[in-house]
Amino acid sequence: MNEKNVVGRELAGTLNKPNRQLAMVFDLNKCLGCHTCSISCKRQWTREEGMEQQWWAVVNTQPGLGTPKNWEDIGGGWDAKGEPRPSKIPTRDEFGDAWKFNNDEVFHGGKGKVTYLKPVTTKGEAPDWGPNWDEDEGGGEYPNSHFFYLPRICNHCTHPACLEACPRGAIYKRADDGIVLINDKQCKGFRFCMEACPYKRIYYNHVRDVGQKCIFCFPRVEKGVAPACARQCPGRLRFVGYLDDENGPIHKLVHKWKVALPLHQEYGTQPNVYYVPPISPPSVDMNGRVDPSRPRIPQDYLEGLFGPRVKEVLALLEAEKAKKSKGQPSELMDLLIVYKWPNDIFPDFVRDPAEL
Amino acid sequence: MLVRRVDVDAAQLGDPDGGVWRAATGEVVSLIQAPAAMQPTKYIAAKWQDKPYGQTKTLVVKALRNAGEIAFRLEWQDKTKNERRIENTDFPDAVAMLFPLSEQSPLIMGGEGAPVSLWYWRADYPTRARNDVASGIGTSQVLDAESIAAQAKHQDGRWSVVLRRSLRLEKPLDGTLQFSAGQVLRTTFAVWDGGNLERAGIKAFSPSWLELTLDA
Repeated sequence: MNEKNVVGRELAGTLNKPNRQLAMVFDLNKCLGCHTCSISCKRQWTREEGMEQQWWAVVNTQPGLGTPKNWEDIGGGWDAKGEPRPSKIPTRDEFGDAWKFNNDEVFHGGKGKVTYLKPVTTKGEAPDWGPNWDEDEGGGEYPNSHFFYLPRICNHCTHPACLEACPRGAIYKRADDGIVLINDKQCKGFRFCMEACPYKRIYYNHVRDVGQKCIFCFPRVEKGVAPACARQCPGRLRFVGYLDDENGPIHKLVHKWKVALPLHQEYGTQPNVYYVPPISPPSVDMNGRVDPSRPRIPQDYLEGLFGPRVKEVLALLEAEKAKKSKGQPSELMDLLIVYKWPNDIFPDFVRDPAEL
Repeated sequence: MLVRRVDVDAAQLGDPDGGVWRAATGEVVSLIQAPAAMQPTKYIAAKWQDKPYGQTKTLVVKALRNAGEIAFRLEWQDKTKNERRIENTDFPDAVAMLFPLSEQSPLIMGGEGAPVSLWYWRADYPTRARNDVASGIGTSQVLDAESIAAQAKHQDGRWSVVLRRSLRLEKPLDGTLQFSAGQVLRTTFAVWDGGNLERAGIKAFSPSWLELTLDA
């Protein structure tokens, strides 16, 4: 094992933390499910052969089975005693394979009027799942159907299960910003990281025989440019910054206002992507009568994702929203509105990549 | 065991079905499961502690040399042939030989200052083996993937693989073995059953050295 990479490891009962930690906050009340984050990431990083099926940034519809399918039910991370929870490697089909289409037949084979575009997986089969198969299905019964979008990337965890699972020490957490990276010269494609990650955000490149995942756009970040997913987000909901920067939006949302919550905190890896939980629309009955006392998205469902503080956070958001609508000042609402882009959303990473 | 000299060409030496190999005497090497307690990470130990792995019990080893090359024929039982690496859960079958590069090199992947040389064949690259060097678990580095030729066959639920290399390499990198007549050296073996998702330390291995003497 490469003992040099101690950051992010628990050694002799002590978790070695980085000097600083970069984090993101996603305001779920602003996500419109457009997948521009996914596409900007794809175009920037995962266009090579062997990466076709990789989506380092995904947007899942909740409630839903997610990417990969059923990722919340297959283990990984740490149990309550801090022991690793065994898991399994998700398959390409569970992640959603990069389909091929019969373009030649339809467009050039003269059969355009008798056949149609049909997707096939790498195994040559008709797909029955994809990276975003259950988009916009959601949950609930009419007229109280509901859904919201949950963008997901690698959480660059404070105690990454992937890092400790690797028998080669190929995964490391950078001391100065806490970004978790896979050293692909050290990686041998054993895929224990894919099992150990409870968020299932690591992909396998079968051409290069290595694991690959979100790199927090570190080459951009090092030049003062925000990660592609954050900069391209039309909803402007992806805040980026250092957790300890008291003047920055991340610190204010996570530690001062405490409205940004980790996803599945019980997995024990201490993720560094935080979510402002979605304010639910009210329930309605079959006659269209609104009942503001009953949220359409069940609170216990949200608590299952974001923990026991959901109710408190939603109440605070409502209270501050009410203040703002009465013309009273609200620092929290001003933060979430993001009046001045990009300075208000990723103040340390405002450089335009086109000007590099 | 004696690495007997036979005057045949590379094609005959490299063919696992060749007559020279039928005539050669083999050594049956016993293998055991690499213990869960020996696994380098808590995750791997937790995942595999109650699962069967490393169940390949024996490996039949034969060794021959001709004027310029040394060859090993390794044969073991593996009912399923796993050679693909497309699906995330695909792990190809594999076999490896380990040679100590110092008197004290530990049998399990070597140690600091006591490296080992590894010849690693895996079914997704059937025609060559990789030459690695390691100084402890998780430290193996590829020296080259060209010098060791391989020819493999899976039939009747058994793999037969011949690994073949020049006795001496012209520009040996640090950690490369050089062979000469009369040389005495030690080796040991490991087998991975890809169908059981075996890789890394999840394997069967031989816990004792096999001594080899090169025929003049």
